[in-house]
Amino acid sequence: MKRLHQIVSELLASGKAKLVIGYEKGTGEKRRPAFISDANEVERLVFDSQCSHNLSVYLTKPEYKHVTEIAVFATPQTMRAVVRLAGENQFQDKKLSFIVMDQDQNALLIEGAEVLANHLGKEKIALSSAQEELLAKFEAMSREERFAYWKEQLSNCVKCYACRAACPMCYCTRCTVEVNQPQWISVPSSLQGNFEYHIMRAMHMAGRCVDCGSCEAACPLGLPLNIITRRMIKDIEASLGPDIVSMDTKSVLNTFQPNDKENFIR
Amino acid sequence: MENNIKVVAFVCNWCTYAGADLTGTSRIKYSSDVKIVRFPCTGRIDFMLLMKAFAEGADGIIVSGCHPNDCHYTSGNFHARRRWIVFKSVLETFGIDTRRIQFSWVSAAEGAKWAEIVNTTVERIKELGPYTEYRELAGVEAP
Amino acid sequence: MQTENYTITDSNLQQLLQALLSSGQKVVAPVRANNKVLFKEIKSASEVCSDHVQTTLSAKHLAFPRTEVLLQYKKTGKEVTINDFPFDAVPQTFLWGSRPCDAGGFAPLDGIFNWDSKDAIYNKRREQLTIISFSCTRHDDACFCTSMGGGPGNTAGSDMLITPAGNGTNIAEIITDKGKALFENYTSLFEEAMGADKEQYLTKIDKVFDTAEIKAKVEAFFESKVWKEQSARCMGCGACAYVCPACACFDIQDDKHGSKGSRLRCWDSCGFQLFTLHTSGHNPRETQARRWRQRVMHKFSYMPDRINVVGCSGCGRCSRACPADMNLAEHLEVIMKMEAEKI
Repeated sequence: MKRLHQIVSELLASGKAKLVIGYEKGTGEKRRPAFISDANEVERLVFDSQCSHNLSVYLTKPEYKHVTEIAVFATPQTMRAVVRLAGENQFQDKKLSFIVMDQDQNALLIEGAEVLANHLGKEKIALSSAQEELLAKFEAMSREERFAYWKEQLSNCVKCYACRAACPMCYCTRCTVEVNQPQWISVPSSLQGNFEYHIMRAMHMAGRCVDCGSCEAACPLGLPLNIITRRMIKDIEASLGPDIVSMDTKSVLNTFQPNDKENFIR
Repeated sequence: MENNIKVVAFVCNWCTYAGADLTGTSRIKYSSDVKIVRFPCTGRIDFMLLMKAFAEGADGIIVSGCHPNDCHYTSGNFHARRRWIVFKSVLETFGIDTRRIQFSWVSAAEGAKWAEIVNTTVERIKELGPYTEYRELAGVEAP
Repeated sequence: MQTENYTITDSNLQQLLQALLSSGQKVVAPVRANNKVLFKEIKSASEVCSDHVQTTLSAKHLAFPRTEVLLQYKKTGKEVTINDFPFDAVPQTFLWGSRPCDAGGFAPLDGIFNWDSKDAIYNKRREQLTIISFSCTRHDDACFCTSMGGGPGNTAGSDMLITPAGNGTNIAEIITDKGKALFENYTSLFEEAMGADKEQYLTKIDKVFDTAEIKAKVEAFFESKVWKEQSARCMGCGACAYVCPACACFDIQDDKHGSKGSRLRCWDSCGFQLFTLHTSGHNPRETQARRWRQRVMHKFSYMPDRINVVGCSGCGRCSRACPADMNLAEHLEVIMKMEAEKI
């Protein structure tokens, strides 16, 4: 932790970071996002295996848009999101630094999104065996069973949009759910509106989702939202090739191949 | 019941709409249960339009445009093809009945193919019956 | 009315619930779903969850649903038919197993929906609602009801309050006429009061602040940087407002389908960026800090001023639901400890 505090103090002292977005101890055993711009407060910061928030979500919020020099604590999930966001030209006016943990749990400073992209390597989003197992269970369900499953799950959704707010890739200033001419997403909190919302969100995540799990973690009702995105990631890989996280790969729906294969268009 | 099904066809202006025109001028008979909506290009057909069609009473949907490499705007249908690949996967996740959506390429010269696509789709939707399962979701109050 | 005390055994309590269900009444109770506990309509007494501290969502939807259909219209030719809200169709509902803070949460809603004009729909739903609360024998680190003037055995807002007293018995307090009516229908299930003090059976929650002190503090710190500091990690979702028993902000929307449609009242949240966005593009609460300040001020200053009730019952749901761990009790404590010169 000493090395971590030293890196942050130096960043703030040198002016390379005007704001540091890290983690601190929260309620009970929880870890939570911490915002520091005063070197006297670095002692608050922690970075351990319990830190799970994807802090890149804050970089595109209006509150932090005007801050140019920001240092962010980055978990592997955060790194993937940063690289994707940089690839989508979201950080053009920013000078970002990242604090990551190396294999021996030592804090490491990385300056700039390009350097972070190199550090990450051309990574393919791979699912863990536990995730694969859960998906296999879901895959074994019939269409009717899946429909019934989501009817049950989405009957608890109150559309508080915590999933959207916590998602680093959901940075649109105006979301489809707020467009009412035409009214794309049904207004009443009926199941239909909830299906429409989650289908729409999945489609807008296609080839962009970095599988950080923030949406599911944020849901106060505990909906299994990652099934949606993970199944999509798997299907995209099977039909359109591996989903590589890098600054120069375009998301699958932003590009095409003349010989893309499918078996359902007549 | 059987006669009450509605199939909505979202077609591109340059190929399938012209193809459907040819079906008519060739005096090929095809099912009148289809309602055609003309778009500039399949690339313009947002997936939410399909969701709205189901919500507002469609029992089946046809999406049709120019064959690959024939797009009036060069690449609209290539983009559309990718979008449908992903969309079909997402719909399957949610258990939406994808048998009710028929994607096809119908050129301006394929009047007979258009009739065949419409007839087989209408036939299939009649077998499946009205898509009440999805429409009924509108009446179910979440909390 | 004067509160009346009785005793009821566990098995008679089950019989009371069973009797309500058998008579075809609508009963809503905490049910376990998705590893969360939620208020849902039950068909059998066995569905009720009793080992939880608090449900994720409050019970406010029973009087103020997520979406209320205010009216429906239909156009046929030149004729327009309007179907008003079907007041007679609002069923009598029994809320079973709520906590004192759930029942207490209805006081701010009652105030808001009867502030300037009386909201007929809300009042009808409220009139049809009988609340049978259970005192708390456990709490977690988000609970702070005692600091909000409530408590684990507080009777305010409940029609009947059951306090588990161990050995298969419970203290039953009949608090209102609605509670009395329920009692009178099933008198044989109740026994004479045992005279025990219910306090001994309740969980102990320390009172850390006082609502009057908070009111004075938040008003004094209106221009403070504390709002910005506390809301730095707020991501701007509506989770806190949607789980809150006292949040009453809503949005009127039209749901149009060709020649017919309905006018809806939907939950809204002051945490949303769009909440105060004007058509001109100007937003008077432009940043999350201002929206957070509004949330706190509304609950702890404006509502006491206008309707004489604090907009918070200390249930702690917002703190449990917040994806960024914005802990309301902790934030209020910070404000309480602040001194004027530190603004």
